[in-house]
Amino acid sequence: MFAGNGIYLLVAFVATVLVLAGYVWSLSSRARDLRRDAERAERDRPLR
Amino acid sequence: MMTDRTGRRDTLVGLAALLLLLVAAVAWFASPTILYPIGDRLVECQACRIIYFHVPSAWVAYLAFFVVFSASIQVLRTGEPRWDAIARSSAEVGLVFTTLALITGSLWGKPIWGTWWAWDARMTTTLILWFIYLAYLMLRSYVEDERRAARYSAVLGILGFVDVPINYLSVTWWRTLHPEIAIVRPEGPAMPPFMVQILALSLLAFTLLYMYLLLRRVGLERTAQRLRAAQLGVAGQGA
Repeated sequence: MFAGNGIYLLVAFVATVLVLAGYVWSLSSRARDLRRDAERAERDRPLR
Repeated sequence: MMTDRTGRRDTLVGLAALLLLLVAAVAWFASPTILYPIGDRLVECQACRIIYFHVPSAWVAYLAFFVVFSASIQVLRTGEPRWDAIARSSAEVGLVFTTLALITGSLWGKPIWGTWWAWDARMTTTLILWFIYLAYLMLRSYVEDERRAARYSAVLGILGFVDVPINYLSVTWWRTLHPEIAIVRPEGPAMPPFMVQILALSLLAFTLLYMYLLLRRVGLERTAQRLRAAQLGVAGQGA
């Protein structure tokens, strides 16, 4: 299947998986950082 | 704060998308060989299977920018932060899928047309689309006042959407390397039924994936709003 021009299919497939996986990882990483910062800010907020 | 219910919903959508993507990926590689017309003969084309994820990437990009367009109208009409969060999130997800459409299109173009890139109407308008939404996200980052940033980018989100129908119809308006519209035609799709079925499955899988990514990204916006509220010391704020 990957003989001839099939190599382009393989590269396109791997690129698609990597871009999507990278984006999901970036979302998770940003969510974790934001949650941590929000919890810290809420904890440090002076009581009214 | 992200509730357990919201988290469960996101996970369910994500699992459904992943399952459907796995089924679709098996179909991409197990499907019969595609025959591509070159001159007056049909040649076997393995790289043409890229159509199964190139077209859904472009479709999801259109969908994402339609969501930006609709949410931007709501931002200007109501000024509610939740519409802004949806528009901003959908623009980012749409940009990811436009990037995928450009990468996979280039990798398909090389074996078929003998070039990684050509300035044909479809490819050029896709690149313009990519720059429009990159500009949208940059505008968001550079304008510090949240309300002004929301208004400015809403205007760009509405005007930028004009490129989507131009991009879709470019293959009928101009002579391009891309084939004419082959799926949504009054006389039916111009491809074998097995390709239509696999494409439909892929479209569904990519649409579910878009929904999952959008939900996750909107969740991020909610947490950011919660952080801003906490930093301002204002109790009871949030999306």
